[in-house]
Amino acid sequence: MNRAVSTVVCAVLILAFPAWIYIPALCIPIALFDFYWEGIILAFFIDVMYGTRVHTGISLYFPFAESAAVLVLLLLPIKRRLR
Amino acid sequence: MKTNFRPRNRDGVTYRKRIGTVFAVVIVLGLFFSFADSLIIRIVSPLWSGEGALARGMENISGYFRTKNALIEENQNLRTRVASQDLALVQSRTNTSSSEEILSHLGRVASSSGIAASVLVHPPETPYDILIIDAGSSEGVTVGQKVLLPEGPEIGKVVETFSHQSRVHLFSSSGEQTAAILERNMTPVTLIGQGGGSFEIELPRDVAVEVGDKIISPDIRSALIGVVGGVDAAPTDSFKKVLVGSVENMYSLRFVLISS
Repeated sequence: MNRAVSTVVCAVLILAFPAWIYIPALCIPIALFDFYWEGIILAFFIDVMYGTRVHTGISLYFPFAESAAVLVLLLLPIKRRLR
Repeated sequence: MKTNFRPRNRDGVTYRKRIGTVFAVVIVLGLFFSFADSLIIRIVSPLWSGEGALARGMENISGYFRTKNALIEENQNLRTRVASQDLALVQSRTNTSSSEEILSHLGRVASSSGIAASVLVHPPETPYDILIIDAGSSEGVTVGQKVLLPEGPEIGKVVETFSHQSRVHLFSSSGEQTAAILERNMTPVTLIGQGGGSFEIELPRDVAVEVGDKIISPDIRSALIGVVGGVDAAPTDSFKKVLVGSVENMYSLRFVLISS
C-alpha cells in the first residue's frame, strides 16, 4: 500500500513540480523501500517527457532511468547488510 | 550434526534474480519508450496546458489579498519600467530599420515569418534546459528550425517533433556549444551553456569586454542571444571567463516563435 501511494505521489510530483522537487522525491522511496523497481519506470517517464537524447561517452539515451537502475542495484547489497 | 547453509545461498539467488529483473526492465522499457514517446507526450500535454491555466488563475486570485499600498507601489514601478522600455523599443526599431535597409541594398530580405507556439513546459520543471511547445509536425515544425522569442532574440532549436508538440533544446543547456559574436569587437566566440539560462565564454585577457555587452548570432540577422553579466579573471590567468545571461527569464517563458 505504501509503495503504491509513493508511486502515485512521485508520478504527480513529476507531472506538476520542478525538477529539484521530483528528483530528490524519487530517490526517497528508492532508498526506503526494498527493491523499488517502480522508480525505474518513473525515471523512464522523466526521460521521455523532459529529456533529450544525451550523448555522452557511453551515449546515455535514458540517463535518469539508467541512473535509477544503478541506484536500485547499488542499494540492494547495502540494505541486505543493514538488516 | 548436519548444518544447513541454504539461507545464505538463497539470498544470493534472490540478489541475482533482482539484478536480472532490473536489466530486463531497463531493456524492455527502453525499447518500449523509444517508440511510445510521442504517445506519452500527447497524453500528458492537456495536463500541462491545464496546469499553466491553473497557475495563472491562482496568480489572479492572490491579487485580491494584496494591500492597497503594495498595489500602488507596484503600479508606479511598472509605469517606470514601461516608460524606459518604450524608449529602448524606439531605439531598437531605429536600429532594425537601418539594418533592414542595408540588407535590402545587398539583396537580402529579413524574413519575419514564423510559427507561433505557446510553451507547455519550461525549466525548472524540466531538469535540462528543454522546452515543450504546442506546435508540431502538423503545424509545419521541423527538426533543426531555430526558436526565437517573439521580440526576436534566438534561444534554441527544435530537436524533436511530434504531431502537435515539439521539443526545443535551449542554447543555454549544460555543455551545449553555440557559435556567436561579441558585438563590441565583432569577436567570434563560443558560448558554452551552463544551464538555467546562463552561458560562459572563455576569452584571452587582452580582448576587451564589459558588463552589458551584447552577444549576437553570427548569421546575417545578428539576432541577440545574450548579454554579458560578469567577467571573471585572475591576475595570473591568460584567459578570462565571461558570464553571459540569456535575454529572457526561461522560468517564465510563455510564447516562442519558430523561424521558418
